[in-house]
Amino acid sequence: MTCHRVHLCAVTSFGTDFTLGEKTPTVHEKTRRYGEVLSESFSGNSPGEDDLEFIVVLTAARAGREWAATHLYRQYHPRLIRYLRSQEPRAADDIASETWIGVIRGLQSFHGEAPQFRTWLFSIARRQLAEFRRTAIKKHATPTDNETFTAMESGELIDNNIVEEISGQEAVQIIKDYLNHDQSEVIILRVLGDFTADQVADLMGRTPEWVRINQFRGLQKLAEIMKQKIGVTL
Amino acid sequence: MSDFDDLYNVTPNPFSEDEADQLLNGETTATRHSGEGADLGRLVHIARGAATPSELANQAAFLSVFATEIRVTTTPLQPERKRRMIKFISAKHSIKFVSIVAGVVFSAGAAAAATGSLPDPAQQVVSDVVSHIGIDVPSPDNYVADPPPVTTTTPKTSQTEIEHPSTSNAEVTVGTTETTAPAVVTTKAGDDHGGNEHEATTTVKITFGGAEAPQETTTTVREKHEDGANTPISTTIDKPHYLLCKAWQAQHNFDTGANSDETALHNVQQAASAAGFTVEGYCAFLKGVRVPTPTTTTTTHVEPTPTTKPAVSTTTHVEPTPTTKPATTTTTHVEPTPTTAAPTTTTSHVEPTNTTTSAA
Repeated sequence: MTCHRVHLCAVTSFGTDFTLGEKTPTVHEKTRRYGEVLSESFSGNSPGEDDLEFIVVLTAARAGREWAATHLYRQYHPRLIRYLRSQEPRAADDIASETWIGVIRGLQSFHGEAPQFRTWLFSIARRQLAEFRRTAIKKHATPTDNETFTAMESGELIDNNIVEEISGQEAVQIIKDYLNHDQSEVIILRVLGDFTADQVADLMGRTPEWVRINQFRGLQKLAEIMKQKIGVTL
Repeated sequence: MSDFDDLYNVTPNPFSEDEADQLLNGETTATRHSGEGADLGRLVHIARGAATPSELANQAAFLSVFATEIRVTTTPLQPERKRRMIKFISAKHSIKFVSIVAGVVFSAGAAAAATGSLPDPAQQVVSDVVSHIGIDVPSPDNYVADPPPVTTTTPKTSQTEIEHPSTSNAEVTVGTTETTAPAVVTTKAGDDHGGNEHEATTTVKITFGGAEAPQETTTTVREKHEDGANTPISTTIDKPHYLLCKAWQAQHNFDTGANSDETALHNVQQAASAAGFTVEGYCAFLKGVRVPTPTTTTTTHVEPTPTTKPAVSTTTHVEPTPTTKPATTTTTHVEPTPTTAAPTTTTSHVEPTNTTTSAA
């Protein structure tokens, strides 16, 4: 297909080639195919491949394309749910659902690229998390069983997990369990959200210095624990 | 009391700022630190690892919510509502709605619709619905400022499906009648009264605001007798005669005679005999084909006296043939006179052209 009008070509392609059902190309192929077309539409700096992919996916999701929604979900949900499970293990799935509903409802008004989308996603999640905690105070608290505290003190959570056997959630749980709340949240957000210190500061409503301090202390403590407790190298 | 960051950069930092960034971003699993740095790098790498099936277990639920919510937020509702409205109206409430639309068209508000000066949504709906039933009202899309006057001699053909009974207990039937006149609305009034069926032809002239638009409502006046004869009537029906008939009936029924107007009753008798009726039959006929009740903006024009500038003039010519003929087949031609720009002289005549009589 020869395209002389860049935007028309891209838009037309969304309406035709991208609705072929199971025979549609992968997201990567789609973005590669239309990458040149879309890149011409940028007057300033040309976006990278990830940015192009995100633009394609976001535009298609706004248009109601299911494949685009699937792509967003599969790309961002695993890290979101790991973060939420590290914060509220028993309510993480509910909070994640509320978060995605908020994303869907705000999709038409969202403006930005992948980093802004991640920030937006996690800010919605943190807001839902805070709402859950605020309402959960009024309800019965769910006590943590003694075995968890015992395991934390003895370091079994690390010792019993060989590197090849632990999952992503368990790795996040190690960070959560051995650091205080602020340190763990800073490091987990930086790891799972791909955020910079400044972005984490915006997200948590703190200063960048506060974030860097907690980040430093958390990394230092994790390094010491691993050196003392693991005995095997991760 | 010390601040929380008093010891920042005081205690030995195992990682530089860049190394910490690389570590947390998962960009390195083997920094210059072969010990804890590498361990942390691998831990972060695992934490950022691929999704497990349990983490994507709710994908189907998410997609169903997505499909629902995204439709709600993106689907334009107005065209669907408009389609539903038109379909609903045309299917179930055509008669009521057409009455409403006719009321709008025949009232002062019709001037706004006809000249396209209603707000666009209202204009569009009126235009769509009215065009659906054959009346041409400009839509906001094709509206041209300062439209030419609608008075024209070029006949248009339009069809409507308006039918109404002249009696309240009659069953409503829907049919199609065709007439030729600019912006024509055709009505057919049928009534069973003493075994007779009547149809009336009426010419209505309507003024839209300043512009005058001849609107012709044609109804065929015909009388069908109990013996099967179907005879056109050649007489002029007007409201004064109808009122005289009522007076005559009052006198006839109660036999008072006190307040009777001999001259008026004589005129009625003359008209009845000219039409081949008895006075009783003539009045019964007039009652059956009662001239359509004028609206507040409609005035009845009694021929041949022309009025100078009526908002609506209604002229009916009925030429009955004597009913004594046992006619079996009657064909009636409706020949509309070309409408001129003169505001008061739009008429159509019902003239029986062929009356074929065959022996029974």
